[in-house]
Amino acid sequence: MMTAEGAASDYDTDILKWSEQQAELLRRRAANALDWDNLAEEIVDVGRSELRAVASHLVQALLHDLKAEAWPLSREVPHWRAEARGHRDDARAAFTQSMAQREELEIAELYGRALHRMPEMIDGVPPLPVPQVCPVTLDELLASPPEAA
Amino acid sequence: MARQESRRAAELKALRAALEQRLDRLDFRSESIGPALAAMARHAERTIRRLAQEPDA
Repeated sequence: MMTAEGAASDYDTDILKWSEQQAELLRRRAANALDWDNLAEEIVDVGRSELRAVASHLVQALLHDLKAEAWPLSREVPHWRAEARGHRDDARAAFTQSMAQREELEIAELYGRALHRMPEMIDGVPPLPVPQVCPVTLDELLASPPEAA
Repeated sequence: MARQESRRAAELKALRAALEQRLDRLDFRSESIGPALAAMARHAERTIRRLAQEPDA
């Protein structure tokens, strides 16, 4: 029988093997052999990882919309708008209500990250000014697009 | 030639519309009005220069 110490060692050296072993132990209800501390950490990390994914999609959505605002004559505008729509869709799919109050999804912070990632030039052209304060709320950003008529 | 000039004319018209839209949004009492106008001028100047450098079709 595998000990929790052995499992903890696999946790550091072979996470795939560790996860498969832990899954098998869970299926067998082998509570005494489980690597409880690392399992708890990993379960917390599942939520954190989803939260980071939503934040990342929202930053990308804001960044692509900002680029379209700052370089409205660029031939890339339709592509940027499509990218922004895609990232909003992905954010909406991964979003859950319990994330709404988390500081990781503070809209001003996400907008600041998007502004920071704006290029200084595109095709040798500097940007038109863009709002320094986020013009949309988190709810507006995550809202479903209107149904096509 | 006429087609290329027509495309340039369309881009200049779009540039003008974009600049007018930004002007409408500007708060002329704000301290950031100067940098905003300067950014618009740089954007317009570089865009016009880029259009002028594109070869005729």
